[in-house]
Amino acid sequence: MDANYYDILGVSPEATPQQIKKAYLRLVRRYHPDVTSDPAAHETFLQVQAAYEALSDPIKRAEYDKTLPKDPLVISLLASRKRLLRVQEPQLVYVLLTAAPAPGEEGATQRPPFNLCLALDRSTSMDGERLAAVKRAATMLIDELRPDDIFSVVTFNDRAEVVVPATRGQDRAYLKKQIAAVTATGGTEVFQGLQAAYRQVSRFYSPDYLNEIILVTDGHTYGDEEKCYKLTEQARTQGIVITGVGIGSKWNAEFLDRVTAATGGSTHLITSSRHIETFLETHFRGMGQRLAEQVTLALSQSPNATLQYAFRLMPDAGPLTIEPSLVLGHVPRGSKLQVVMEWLVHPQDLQATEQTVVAGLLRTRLPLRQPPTWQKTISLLLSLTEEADLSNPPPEIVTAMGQLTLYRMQEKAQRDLQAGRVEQATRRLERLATRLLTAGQPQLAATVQQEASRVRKTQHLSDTGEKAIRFGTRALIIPPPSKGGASR
Amino acid sequence: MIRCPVCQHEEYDGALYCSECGAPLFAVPGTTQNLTVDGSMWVPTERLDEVAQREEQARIVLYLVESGQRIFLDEGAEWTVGRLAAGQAVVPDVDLTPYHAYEQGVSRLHATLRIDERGRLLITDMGSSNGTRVNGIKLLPNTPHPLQHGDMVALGKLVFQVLIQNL
Repeated sequence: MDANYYDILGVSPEATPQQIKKAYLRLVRRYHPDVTSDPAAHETFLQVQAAYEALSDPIKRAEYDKTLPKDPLVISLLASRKRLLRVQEPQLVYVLLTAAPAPGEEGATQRPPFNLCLALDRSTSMDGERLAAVKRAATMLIDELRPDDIFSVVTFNDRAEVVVPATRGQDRAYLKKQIAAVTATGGTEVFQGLQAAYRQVSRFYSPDYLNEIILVTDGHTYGDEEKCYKLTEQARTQGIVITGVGIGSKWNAEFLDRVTAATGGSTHLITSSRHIETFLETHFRGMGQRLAEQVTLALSQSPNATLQYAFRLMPDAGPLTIEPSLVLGHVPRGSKLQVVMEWLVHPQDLQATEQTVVAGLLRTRLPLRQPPTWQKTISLLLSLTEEADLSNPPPEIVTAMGQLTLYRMQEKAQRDLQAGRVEQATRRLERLATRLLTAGQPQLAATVQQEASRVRKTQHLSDTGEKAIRFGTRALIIPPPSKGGASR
Repeated sequence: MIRCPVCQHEEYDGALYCSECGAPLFAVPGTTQNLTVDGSMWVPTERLDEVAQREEQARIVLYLVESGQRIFLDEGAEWTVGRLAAGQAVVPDVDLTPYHAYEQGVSRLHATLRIDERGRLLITDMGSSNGTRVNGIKLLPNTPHPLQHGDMVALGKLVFQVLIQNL
């Protein structure tokens, strides 16, 4: 059997008979021998006919459905508007992409084994309660390890040291002794730690494992950012996820966001060392519930539509990197992965009746499953019309964008500051404070207001303020409650 | 292109929120008012007097831009502005409840209007939850701010224009 009938018609396996008929008629209009003499089109036309014959009859469709391999994920795309204007002018479309576990996949199962490396910052600033808390968290994790888990620990300051080399089924007492011996001294060079950790994890990489580096740091790294980004790219192509944990306020959040997002991981702010243990415990439990790892969207190049911005709403709200590849994150069992994208569409062919907004291939890895990878073509088309779409945008997109707009305002203010546009940054922060008040966030608004006056005077944000605003506006982004719309 | 009604920033068609000031740009369900109008929703400067003078005796007129209704302030020199809530002891002089004050985020005691000894009209935010803005600029709570003829005042999301006849 060649391509899936549903894919041929470009509808989801849950499509209603009306949707199937509509899709069929649309394709017929394009590929019918009366319309085109292209031999390839004729081939497509025959496929479309066969697909429609099988799917239009409920009995035949049910039989056909039984022969299909079950999809582990249900993908849906929801657009902020139903149609585009038939004008040669750029127009914005927001798209909400949801990847949820298919029915029967939500339940908890035994977790896949870990191939995990803890990369721990042991610079002078970590001395005292911070390092003690990190050590306690590591010790707790050691107690949770199974014999088939691969575990390693590296520590770093200006150099890296492998405290526990990656191996399976290590003696717990030995591991704990190694952790206890770690002391704090020196500066912070993230690249050293990241490289050492990467070597440990990549040595035992397996698609059936959860391959992950957890980077714990409390300091700024200087001058080695580009090297880190390169290494991150290597980690991504190999299938290693990097999770970032920043303690306190002196670390570079933008840098850590970029490193982690590129691999499908996320960055977390820990304001007090008391929270380190709880965070890591929750994180490990969450890792065990991952159904699909590193869901990646490879977009087809199109001159008419550009992805301008992508943000993951859940799990772990955070900005995504678009270049060189868009890694959306993981799909947790019992929940879902949800990403909002901002597309700038510039219709070129004004004779066309519709315009492709999103087209691409979604790929993911499924630990402990056969086959271990899964992929699906996704696309979103909007019709081109003369009259404007006056219907209300879907509430889940309105809510998500309302919250995301606040986050993006602070992002812009930070960018203004980096470029020395103090005046603009101040104004932006003041506007953000106003918006936060309207959104019922007086505390965060007060922080933003305070930072705005500080920027006016000193041209800088305070370290604590910068973290509070960045992660505070991110924390406002709560996932939309209802399910996404029709999938394609 | 569409223009933000609050800060006049230009956005591409289809934008849901203004990227500069965060104002919503889509039609809010339940209102017929499209927020992407360009200034026609308030009274143009040349028509200010005409609108205000319809009621000769009133000194100050609050013109509610969304509904087009007018509130006349005449007697006294100080007015509290807010909305009436059940079990509330203090009744505001200007009760905005009929103008959907609650939905628009107006606090029970939101602001006061006062004519000072120099004959200026002042507005003071009384520490309201959603703040008071004059011509888009947010006021600090408990700090009087002078108002000019034609100023746009927003209590939460409820917007009115102040028309001053004679003080």
